[in-house]
Amino acid sequence: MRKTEQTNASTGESKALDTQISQALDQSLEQISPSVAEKLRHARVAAVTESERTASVFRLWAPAPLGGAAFALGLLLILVWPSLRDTEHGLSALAFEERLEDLILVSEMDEETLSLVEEIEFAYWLAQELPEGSIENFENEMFDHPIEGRIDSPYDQALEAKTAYAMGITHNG
Amino acid sequence: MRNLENFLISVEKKAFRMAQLATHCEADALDIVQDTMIKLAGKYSHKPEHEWRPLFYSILENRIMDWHRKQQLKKKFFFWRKDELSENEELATELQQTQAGPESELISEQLGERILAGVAALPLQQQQCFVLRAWEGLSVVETAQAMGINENSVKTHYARAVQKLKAFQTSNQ
Repeated sequence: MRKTEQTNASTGESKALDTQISQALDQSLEQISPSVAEKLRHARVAAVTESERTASVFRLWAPAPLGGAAFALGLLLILVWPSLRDTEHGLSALAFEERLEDLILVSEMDEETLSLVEEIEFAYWLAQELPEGSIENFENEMFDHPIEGRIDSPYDQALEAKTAYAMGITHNG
Repeated sequence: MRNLENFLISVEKKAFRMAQLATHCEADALDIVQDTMIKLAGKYSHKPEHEWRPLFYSILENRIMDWHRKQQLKKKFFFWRKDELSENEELATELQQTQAGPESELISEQLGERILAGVAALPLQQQQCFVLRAWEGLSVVETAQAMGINENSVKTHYARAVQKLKAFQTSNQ
């Protein structure tokens, strides 16, 4: 019982002390000099300006993640779409991976290798585009009526064949 | 932005006094308060308003602790200038006392000065704990968050601060 009384008295004293000190500190606020108050006002204005600046920067960059996501989605569609289309046409579902490998392979090629690949691709295209036997017919025609300064590389031959085909010189066309 | 400004108006003077009690230097206290305001405005102004107060005092406490760490480092690295530094500090205090004029006169008029001197003489953590609890009215949990210590430490620091302030008052009566 006595201990409780002592504790209550001690708590009461503490509260009185808290109040006394709080009052003294409050009074000291009223005595802050005008120059300090002015400096505090400047600091506050700087802080509010900073806040506005941060908010405007945030507003400016807020759509950035959205734009980034749209770009990533677009890129993904570009990469994935051909493989999806291939799958629809009954081709391998791994076509996307192969295309990606092709892309990496092409990016690592030097100029000479790249031009060789282009030539092969062109020859392949030509073989598919021209009617069957047209190249042989064209070559026979060229053999019968040779052109001066003719270059015999397969690429040049193919190029000539393509030009001739376009002009309607082929036997079948 | 208006809300933020009003909040800063409500805390700036108290924050300045707290920093001044901790640093014993008006210019450093102003710097600390300005840094605190800018940090709050730049990084946390988007947070809900009820979170501003604990965040503000948390930043303020960190700044005060940083200031003390820097002072201690300075004293360690420039130990040969210790006398020179303390002389400068004394001189600065004298200057402040003479330049403060009406402000210090008003403070010294009342019991307030003795009380504030007692608070200023407390060890840093006890002082900050006492001021946050008794003056700013933060709860034990909020004080613990602001000071980055656990709740039991807050209670211990507060109890010791009250004990010392009582002893200080008794010795000055």
